[in-house]
Formats: sequence, C-alpha cells, structure tokens
Amino acid sequence: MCGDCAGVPEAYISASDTIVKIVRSPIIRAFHSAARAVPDGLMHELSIAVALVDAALERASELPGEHVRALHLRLGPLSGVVREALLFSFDVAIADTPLADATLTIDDVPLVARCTQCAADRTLPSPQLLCCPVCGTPTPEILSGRELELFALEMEQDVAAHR
Amino acid sequence: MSPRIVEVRQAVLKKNDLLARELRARFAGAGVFVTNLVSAPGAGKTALLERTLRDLGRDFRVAALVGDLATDNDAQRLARSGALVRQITTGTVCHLDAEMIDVALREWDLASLDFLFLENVGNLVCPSSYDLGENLRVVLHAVTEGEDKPLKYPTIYNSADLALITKIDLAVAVEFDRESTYRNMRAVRPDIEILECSARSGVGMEYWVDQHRSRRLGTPALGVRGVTSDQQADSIVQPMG
Repeated sequence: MCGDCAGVPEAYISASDTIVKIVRSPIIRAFHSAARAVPDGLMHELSIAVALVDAALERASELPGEHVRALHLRLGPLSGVVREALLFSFDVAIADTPLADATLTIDDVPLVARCTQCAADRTLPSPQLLCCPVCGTPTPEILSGRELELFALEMEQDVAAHR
Repeated sequence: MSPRIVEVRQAVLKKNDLLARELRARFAGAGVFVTNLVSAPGAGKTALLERTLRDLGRDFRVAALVGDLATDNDAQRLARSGALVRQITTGTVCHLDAEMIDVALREWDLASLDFLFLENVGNLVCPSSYDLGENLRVVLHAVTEGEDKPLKYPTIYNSADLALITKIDLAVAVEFDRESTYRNMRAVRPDIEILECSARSGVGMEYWVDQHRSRRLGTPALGVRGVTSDQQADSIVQPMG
C-alpha cells in the first residue's frame, strides 16, 4: 500500500530547489504507517481518522488518571467524509495507540440552510440540491452540515491495577 | 467508577485550520493573492497553470506550489515558464494541507510575490476538507467529464468559490452538456461563479487572468461577471463566429 514510507527523508529539498518532499509531521508519519492496512479508496477518511485520534489524545493528555472509552463525533453531509469509511479507518488509526480500546460514535448533523424567501431555516434532504424544500429558492447560506467535529470524550478512571 | 463525558467541541482539522488562518494573514501581509486549484486528475490543472503563469508573469511576480503523489513532472513542466515553482511530493497523502504549504514556502520571500498558485493533488474528495489559507478556491471541470460530477462530489464543488470549465475548445466534439453542467454546479453551490476557458486555444484565458488581477486588488473584474448566460458562453466557445 504505502511504498513511500521506508527510506524517505523527512523533509527533502532537491538541489534544483523545485522539489520539497514532505513526510515529516507526526500525523503524516502515523498516516503512512496506517496506510498499509487500508484500501486506496479510504485514504481520505484515514487521514481524517488519524487527525481525530491526534486531537483526542491531546485532550486526554490533560486528564491524568483517566482513559478514553469513547469518542463522539459530529458529522455533516457536507463534511466530505463517509461515515462507514471513517469507522473502518478509525479502527486502523487507533491500533497501537492509547485509544486502542476506544469506540467511535458518530452523530449525524442535519444540513440546514437559510431560505431568504421564506425567512426561515430549512432542513435540506440532500447536499445535491441546495434549495428550499418549501418554495424552491436557492439557499447558498449553509447554517449547519459542514461539521467534522470531535464533540466529546467519554472518560473513565484508570483502574489502580493498570498503573 | 462510571464514565464521564468531557465536552471538546473541536474541529477535527483544527490544527490545519489554525495554520491556514495564520498563512492567510501572512499572505495578506505580504500582498500576495493565493489561488488553490482543485480537480479530478486530468482536468487540466497543469496546462491551465502553465498558461496562467506565463500570461500573468508578464506583469506580475508569480509562483506555484504543485502537489503530486510521486512525480515532479508537473513542476519541471511549469518551471519552464520562468516562474518560481516548487513541487510538494505527498507520497500516498491524497491532498495538500496547510503544513505542507508552510514548509514548502519556508525559504521564499512572500513579499517578493504578487500571485501564488497552489495546484492540489488531483482528487475530488480529500482537498475539500483542507483550508490552505487561499484567497480563492477554484474547482476545474473539464468538458470531457460527466455533467453529473457536481452531484457525485457535492462537497468539493460547494467548497469552491469559482468553477472553471476547462478544455472548452473540445465542447462540440464531446457534446458538452452546458445547461446540465451549470445547473448541477448551481444545485450544489447556488452562488458559485462559473467561467469557461481553454488553455490550449486561449479562449477565456484573458478573462481568467483579469479575474486574478482585479481580485488581488479587491475590486470586481471589468466586463461581465463570469460567463453566466448561454449567449455569453456561446460567444466564448465560438469566438470567431
């Protein structure tokens, strides 16, 4: 899958100064090591899952004596992220991290737009047609639906025996 | 001990968003206008960029960062225009992110630039999620692509400020369905601006370049706002007619 990881310099600028090779950040490195286990079509969700794990670990590090039992994510239809692909990628991304036993719960956020004609907020059935379902007026102003948000962490006290 | 809920309420890509905001401020401070080009592979990003760098480069200082999974073919091709060009090789990563831009720009003096183009990795999914600090996001859509692409990839079209229909010189040959394409683009982004051009024939390029000049100055472009009516579109497709 990821034939590019081994032996690639962390940041490489060629003599001609036209090429910058970037595989340097911890996130990218984690992504590369996880990429071996994921089909090509899921690469996007994998990079999102790695960023999600990173964000959760960062927050959890501020809460000593507890560990993460579950992550709650809010996901909108205009986030560009496919729910099933993210769930699959999450399992790959948490392997060998302190989140290895954590679960991911995804709450769907509705697509809501402002209809200027009706002067009302409308829930739209699909991101494929951004117009008011009542009067048909185009609704460029999106109020919700782009969310890709780590909403909450479910934390549990470490058992003494684990220390 | 029962579990407790700790509210986080943080965008998953917060780090990218923060760095992008910082980049945007840096670009503004240096007076450089930044355009992020996204599209499927083969929609003509490099050909467009080649011509844009050449045309804009006559009066302005232009540069480009080019994202590619593995090769530096595009950068080599673009460097011939005389513009400052750098390749970002992303490996298997399917998009550019703000950190890549930040690193790639490190030795460049932004104040010595007027325009910077970011050629994203050819992909209609991933680049939509990553803000690069750009002023303008352009989705390229070749006439050879299906008119239902916007419906299949609503997020990337929705995230773009401008849709640029490329290879318009082939419109007749491939029976390009203009009406459906425009309708689908506007279905997923009602206020999207739509332009048409061909980097090969040069049709529409002058307006595209003018758009950049005027947007950099923060003023509306001279002439019509995009090619929005069928009449204007036809006049562009058949400029000699």
